Amino acid sequence: MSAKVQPASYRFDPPVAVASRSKRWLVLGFVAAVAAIIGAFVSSQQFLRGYLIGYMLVLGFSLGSMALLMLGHLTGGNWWMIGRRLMEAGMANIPLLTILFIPIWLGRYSLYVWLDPTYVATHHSVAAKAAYLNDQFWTLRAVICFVLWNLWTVMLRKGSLKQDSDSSPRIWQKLKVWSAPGILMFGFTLTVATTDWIMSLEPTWYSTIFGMFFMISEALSAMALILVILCSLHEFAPYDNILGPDKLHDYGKLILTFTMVWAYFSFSQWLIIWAGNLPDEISWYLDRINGGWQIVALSLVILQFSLPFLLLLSRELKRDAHKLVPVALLVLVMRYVDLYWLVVPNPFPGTGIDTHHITYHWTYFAVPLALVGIWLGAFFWHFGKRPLLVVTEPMLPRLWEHGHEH
Amino acid sequence: MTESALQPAVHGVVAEFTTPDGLVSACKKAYAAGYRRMDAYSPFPLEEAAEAIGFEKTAVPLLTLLGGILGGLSGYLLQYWVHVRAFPLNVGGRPYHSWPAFIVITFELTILFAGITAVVGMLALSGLPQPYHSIFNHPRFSAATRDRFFLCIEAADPKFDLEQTTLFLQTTDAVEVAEVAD
Repeated sequence: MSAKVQPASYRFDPPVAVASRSKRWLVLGFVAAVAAIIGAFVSSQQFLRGYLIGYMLVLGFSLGSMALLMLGHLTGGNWWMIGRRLMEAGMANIPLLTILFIPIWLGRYSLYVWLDPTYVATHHSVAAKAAYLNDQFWTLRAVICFVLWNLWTVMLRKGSLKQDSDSSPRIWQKLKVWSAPGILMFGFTLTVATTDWIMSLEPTWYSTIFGMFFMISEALSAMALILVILCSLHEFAPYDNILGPDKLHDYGKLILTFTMVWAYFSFSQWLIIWAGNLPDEISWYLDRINGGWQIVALSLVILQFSLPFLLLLSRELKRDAHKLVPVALLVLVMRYVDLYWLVVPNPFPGTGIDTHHITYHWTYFAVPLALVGIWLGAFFWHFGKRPLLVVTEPMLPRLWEHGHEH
Repeated sequence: MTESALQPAVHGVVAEFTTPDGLVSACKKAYAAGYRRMDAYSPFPLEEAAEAIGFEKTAVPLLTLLGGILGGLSGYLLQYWVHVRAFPLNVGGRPYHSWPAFIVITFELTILFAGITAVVGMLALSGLPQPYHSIFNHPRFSAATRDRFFLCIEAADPKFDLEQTTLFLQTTDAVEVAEVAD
């Protein structure tokens, strides 16, 4: 392979292409946003469902990035050193996502049936949950989640900014001290947030693994996205020198692991509910495997798990960007399909929209596209402002040694 | 034949390196020079060295896959046979052929069989356990488990010549080149 190049001889300035990508994604995002706003006037119900799908998708990119970043601070690894600035840029979108939550908060009465007194009056099990599922407490929980996510974003970014010029081990120590409880915080807040925003769409249903399922889904989304973006930048220095087959292999292995854990959590939830066979629990699945929805469910089994799993078993595939990137793109598309399958087949309060049969509305596409465009635009904007690698990272020279990282 | 009666048999020539990069570049050089019967030793897995000495793919992944498929099939069929054929029990009205419940055991047996096949297959294909190997005649070889890297060009190589090969290895980054008795 290439001769060893001293990292000091490189400047890690982001290529100009990053700034133009930021503009292009923002333009796409805003064009789609215009369509989305038209959709909001045509059918606010459908718009809100589409918004929730798109919002959970991009929230997954950001929170997944934050989780992987904290994991890396505690464990290290060459794949992490290469992808760290991308994870930080993904995490830096959390303040933006805080603002983008406002439409969900404003639309909560159209999204969540448990806010409708007439529905609660006829559903005793939902009335019994009123101490938890009520407007004020729901809002408070969302506020707490966003406060914590923003706090960790600020703290993790502050240390990282200093590291551009300061190699003091105290900063590393501080980042570790924030990362360890941060992973616990991620687990708790994500369980609360996904229970509130997704599970409560069907308030009679409950599953305790739901938060865990989202944790792994978000790590999977973020991992696949970081890999795709890294590979799209492979021609630029320093990636052209350091993004070798061994690093791709690590990304491939982690995507394989997360794919398997995704299937493990999905199947655990399904098996326990299937074995219990209780009306309260199975209704959620019955809504999702009948009336045409079984095609979506089956596509998840095959395209979110079986196919990527079988492909990623191959060592050659994981070491070849041309083969690995399409698998990562498939994973990303299926993350969207999964959210569509989770969000849409729920009761639409007082609208007469039938979700017992498979239904798709153009806003389910336009709104997520707008959110993804804006998210990626902001992502590349953040990413383009910092050196591509953390120059003071003591392990950095290892990235230029090929073939023997462990 | 007369020569070998006078001299002790030679296993090969061993070069010692202090860095993994030194070993890898020496492996590439030796392969380019036409040597084929050689082996590289390192304290940790060094995939590049394996590639450089022309180490070909092994059958271990294929064996593991076959082991996994066999394990999965046997796990599923065992449960099918027990629950549907041999001893059908009505558990809460669920069908005898309750495939969701069979998945867990099927998965576990897939992993078990694949794991065992991988270990046993690796040992069998690499000829282990092997009580004697000439490379250990090299007095410094135990450092291969700590911080040193070794390349051994074996006497069995058709291009092997004690003097020439020693001279060749001295042109690499080796800190020491020595012959090893068989």
